[in-house]
Amino acid sequence: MSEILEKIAECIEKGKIDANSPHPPDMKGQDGADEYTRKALDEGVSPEEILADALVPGMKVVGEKFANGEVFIPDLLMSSKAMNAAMAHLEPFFDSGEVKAKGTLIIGTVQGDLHDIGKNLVGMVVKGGGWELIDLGVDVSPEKFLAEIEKHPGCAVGLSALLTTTMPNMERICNSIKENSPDTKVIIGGAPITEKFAEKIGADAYYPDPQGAVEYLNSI
Amino acid sequence: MTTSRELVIKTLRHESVKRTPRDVWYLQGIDIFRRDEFDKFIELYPLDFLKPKLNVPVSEREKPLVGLTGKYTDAWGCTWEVMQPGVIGEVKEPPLADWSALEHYKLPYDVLDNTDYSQVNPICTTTDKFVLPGSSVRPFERLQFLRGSEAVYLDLAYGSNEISTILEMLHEYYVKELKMWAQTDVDGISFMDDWGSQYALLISPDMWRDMFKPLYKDYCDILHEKGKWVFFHTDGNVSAIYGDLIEVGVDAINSQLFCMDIEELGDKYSGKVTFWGEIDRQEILPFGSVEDVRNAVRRVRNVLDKGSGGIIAQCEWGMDVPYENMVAVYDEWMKPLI
Repeated sequence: MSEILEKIAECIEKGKIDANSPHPPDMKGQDGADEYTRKALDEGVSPEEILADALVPGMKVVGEKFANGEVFIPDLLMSSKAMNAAMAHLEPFFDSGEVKAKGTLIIGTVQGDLHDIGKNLVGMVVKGGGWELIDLGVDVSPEKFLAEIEKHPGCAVGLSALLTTTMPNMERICNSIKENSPDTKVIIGGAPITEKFAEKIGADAYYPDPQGAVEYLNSI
Repeated sequence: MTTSRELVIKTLRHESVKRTPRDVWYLQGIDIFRRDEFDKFIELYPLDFLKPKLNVPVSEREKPLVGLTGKYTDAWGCTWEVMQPGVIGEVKEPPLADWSALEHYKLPYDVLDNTDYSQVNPICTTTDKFVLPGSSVRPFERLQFLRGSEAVYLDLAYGSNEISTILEMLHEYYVKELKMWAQTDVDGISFMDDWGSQYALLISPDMWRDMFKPLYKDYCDILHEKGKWVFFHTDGNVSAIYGDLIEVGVDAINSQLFCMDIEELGDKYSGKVTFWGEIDRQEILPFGSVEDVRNAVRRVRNVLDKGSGGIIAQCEWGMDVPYENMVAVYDEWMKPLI
């Protein structure tokens, strides 16, 4: 990996957004993901290379550290911010089709549930893993998921729930997706969710952490 | 005969007790929709704790929930949304989402300064139960309600001046509140903050020790100085700070034991703190069989209940928890130790 790609990956991993960002303190005053990505493009590094060899690996390290309890939510959010700063430079290449996402994940908190921080964290790491993310927000009905699946053939779906009382809604949505779009992969997560519950409702996968979801998506 | 108060105090002192003291928490929905079952349960298993009544004035900022779902605004100016009847809901309009609002933001001293505590001491004198009020003290959670969760995590990472300012303001408020409680005749006071996700702490233990541990130490000192027992509730996996909570002076911790390694907690902290419950409310209580529930209680008792105090029989009654499971928890807990 070239030096500049290593720098970008380091900025993502450590959550260094740009030169003005005071975080992390030991990188204060240094350029961040924003400046290094711009420079890389100016130097002729392809956007695809930046995505595949800097952003995705940088986010993967953070995702793994988060799963292992080595970094925490503030760190993950800062990395996501750095990722977004870098991605802003790549957006035109996505729009032109020069760079393509690995696939699409439609994500949402299930009907009846308003909690969103867990869903948002998963979304950030998935996006950082090179996937297009469509976030339907909270309190999402089965109909809304189905309508969005229809618009994105080949997509996967992520369902989130925090309350035990909304887990039955997760089951209803999962059933509805499997009935109407049997090939669509459904991943579930949330504090009370377990692998056993995933099996019971016919979901394809459960992961307790965002990086697990990315690894699963990469494997399908 | 040992009174409820004496029983709880012996438990907190890790002295031998004839039976484990009982406490139960329940969501508002139980009170609204399942009151008959609750009354029947309480008749079977009277509680050893009592929460005193207060006359709390309504703040000008408050807008009550009309009906069972919708929006309401609390005394702090945080607007909540409730989708399911009987649950507290989620803050969806935090008043400090934009830091520019901080300059004119006022904490609800109108409520604190005008709360009527006059019924508290008479209750403490007449009851033989352990009087344990809750408090509004929850600095980390209140930060999130005021600012929005994601924004708070980013503020903490940035180490912004505003987050320090609002945290100082909150601390000053909470200190005042606890000093007011400490002057009453209650036996203990509880405070709370949810610190864990399912598997780890939400922020790093170092950040917690740097920013929040000193606040908690102040709270414990204020209460201990007046001879009050300190109770603390926290959700999630908090094993990384369990020792710290004990170190600052928390006497009883209510935590999600089943998110952690219960046996390890027992090895490390039995005899050093009182475990204020609980039984798994994410799977076993709502979805488990009566036998699953009994096994869960047995597991907790095997590790934490040595017949020498240090454990309170407690769990939370959620809307989806069957009555039979609640009865099973306390029936199993009241059996003699083998």
